[in-house]
Amino acid sequence: MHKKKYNFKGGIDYSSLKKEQSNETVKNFLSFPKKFIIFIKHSLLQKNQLRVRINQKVLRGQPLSFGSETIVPVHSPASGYIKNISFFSFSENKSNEYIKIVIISDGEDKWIKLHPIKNYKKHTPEKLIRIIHKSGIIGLGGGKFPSSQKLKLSINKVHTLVINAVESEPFVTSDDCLFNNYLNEILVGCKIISWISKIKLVLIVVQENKTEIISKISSLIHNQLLFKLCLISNKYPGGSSKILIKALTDKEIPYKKHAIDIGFLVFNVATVYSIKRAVFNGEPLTERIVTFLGDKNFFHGNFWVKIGTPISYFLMHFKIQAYSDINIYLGGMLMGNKVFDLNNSTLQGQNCIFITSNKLINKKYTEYACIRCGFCSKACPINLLPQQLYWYIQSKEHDQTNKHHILDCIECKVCEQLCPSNIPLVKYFKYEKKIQHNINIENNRRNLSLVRFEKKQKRLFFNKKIFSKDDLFLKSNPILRINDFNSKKIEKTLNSFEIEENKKNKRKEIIQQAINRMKLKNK
Amino acid sequence: MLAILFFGTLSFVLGVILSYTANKFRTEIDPIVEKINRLLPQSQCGQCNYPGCYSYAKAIIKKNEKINKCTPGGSELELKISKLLNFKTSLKTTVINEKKIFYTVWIDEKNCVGCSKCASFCPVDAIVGTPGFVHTVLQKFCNGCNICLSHCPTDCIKKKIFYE
Ligand code: SF4
Ligand code: SF4
Ligand code: SF4
Ligand code: SF4
Repeated sequence: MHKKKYNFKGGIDYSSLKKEQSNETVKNFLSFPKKFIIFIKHSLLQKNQLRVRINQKVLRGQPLSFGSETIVPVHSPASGYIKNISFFSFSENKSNEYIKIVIISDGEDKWIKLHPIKNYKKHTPEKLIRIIHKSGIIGLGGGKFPSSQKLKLSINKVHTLVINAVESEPFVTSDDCLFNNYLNEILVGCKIISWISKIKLVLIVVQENKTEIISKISSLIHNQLLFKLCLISNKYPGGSSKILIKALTDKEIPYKKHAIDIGFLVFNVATVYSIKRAVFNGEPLTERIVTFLGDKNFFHGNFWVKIGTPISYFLMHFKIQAYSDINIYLGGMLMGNKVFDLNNSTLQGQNCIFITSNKLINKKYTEYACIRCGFCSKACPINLLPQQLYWYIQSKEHDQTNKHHILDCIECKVCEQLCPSNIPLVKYFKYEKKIQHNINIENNRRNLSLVRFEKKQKRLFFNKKIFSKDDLFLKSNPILRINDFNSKKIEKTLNSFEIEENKKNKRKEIIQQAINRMKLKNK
Repeated sequence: MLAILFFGTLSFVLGVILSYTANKFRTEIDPIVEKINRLLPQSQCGQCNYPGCYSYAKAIIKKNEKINKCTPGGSELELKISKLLNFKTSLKTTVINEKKIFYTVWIDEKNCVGCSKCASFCPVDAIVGTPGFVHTVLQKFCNGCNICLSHCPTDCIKKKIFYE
């Protein structure tokens, strides 16, 4: 057995903070909700065609949409019938449009016919990837990148598989819970993945304080050459693949590159588990473990939750009535997004729902001026300079922020937590990222216009060449010439050797006239 | 002695070849003009009274043209060019507005008579159609220069806000 400890720069140690840890066993007493709401991202460019109609009967695991190369299909979480299909966009983010499907369950929970594959080595990697794509598996750690796509890219490119069991957020234990209860299945999942992309080494990364899990894993893998256990220091944030690779190998992933490009395939534990379920049991992705975090009055723990369960159902189930007193966050304490719309439901990428009462969070913080103490730059796990970025954002120097790699920021909020002046740094960074995005679009548009303009000029130039041959023809036919053109001008053109130059001037004149006309019209 | 002679002639011949090729395939593009051209919005709208962005950029360098003539670029562009050319512009006169509205156009296809005038004037070939048939705008390529607007005899081309 191999145990090695890794560390990364920066970050905050949350272990001293004594908060009630959600424990690591799964509770499964949640009964089925009657109503499921499923959101499928809709974009005009990438068609995500539906496979169901209103009032149609569906079984659990039946695909609702076709999916495409880059989009995986979404499956029905329960048997029942489709009540409604409509377009929808959340009030907090109007620009993303979703297809909203409401499913009323009949309570029987009947599966469609499954096709389990017991001996995966009999099948080609391509077929297994197709099965994984059909089962609708995406990165369950929050990345939401289709796993089949990742696997397809990784073939013949990677040498090591990294299993990421490091929980990004403090107090979230859904991954530990999976490890504790389904360890054997996860190891099978690792083997399937390493068979698909021909990997000889699997690194399992766990935080160092999870002693129980470490002893369990090491007793299971102690004479298997394929697996290796790595421990990472117990700090926030460790779950991002950028930081993980940096800690393990001391290599940095450049912006817009992926871990695959330097030979590492990173998968979240939950994703590995669902890949195993998809291949070995033939089950599409319909449920996942979600951690509930709350104050003492609310509920606590890890639950198997079906994808598409509405948030309001949980509130009903746990008898939380006064909506005005609580804040609900999707995602953990630090990186989560506040929910304004109770229509929201648990989707594939969510591993935590965090509920607090208003009183705790509503402390009034005043933002003071930055005192250049440098706490933020010391703590940033990916070596950015948050204070410098903050100054550049304030003075609107967008090219400087780009040069200082603002787009690499993973929005972990470590810098914000440590800032003595209570500056909401990440808020500024998010805003600046949006501006950078717009600048990017603008630059692309500009380049496209330039290329198309040049192409058009070239084409016109070519046409003119043919035209100038006609000019010579006109010269030999004087009658035609008088009818069609001003004869003086044509003679001038033919006398000079610069026919092309003159044609250019002509075009300039035409455009000038057009501009004048436009101006007149606009007046 | 022989070696010196040999390498001397060899380097001379190579030098001649190099200078000849450099002369023959000389790039005509003025690097500063090209840089300014890259800064300009490339909508070829002609509001600066030049037929295109490149000729305006050339005029700035060659004919001492003012740098504040580009309307779509606005004062932000003015600031950028002055930074590039080391001009002094007082910040008071330039107002930087972050919010910009981008227009594209669309053709009301019911009224299009297929005269094909718009397509021949579009500088970036964003309008497709053949004479005698309905024309349409490829919104992805349209840069909102509005040149086509004044050429349509039936007035069926309209502005449309693309994004803000
Ligand atoms: S921690 Fe806050 S006050 Fe200190 S340098 Fe960073 S931004 Fe400024
Ligand atoms: S939020 Fe961004 S800048 Fe701040 S510590 Fe995290 S990665 Fe660094
Ligand atoms: S379609 Fe009209 S507005 Fe758009 S680029 Fe062409 S001429 Fe300009
Ligand atoms: S100018 Fe107007 S009528 Fe003529 S083809 Fe274009 S849109 Fe149609």
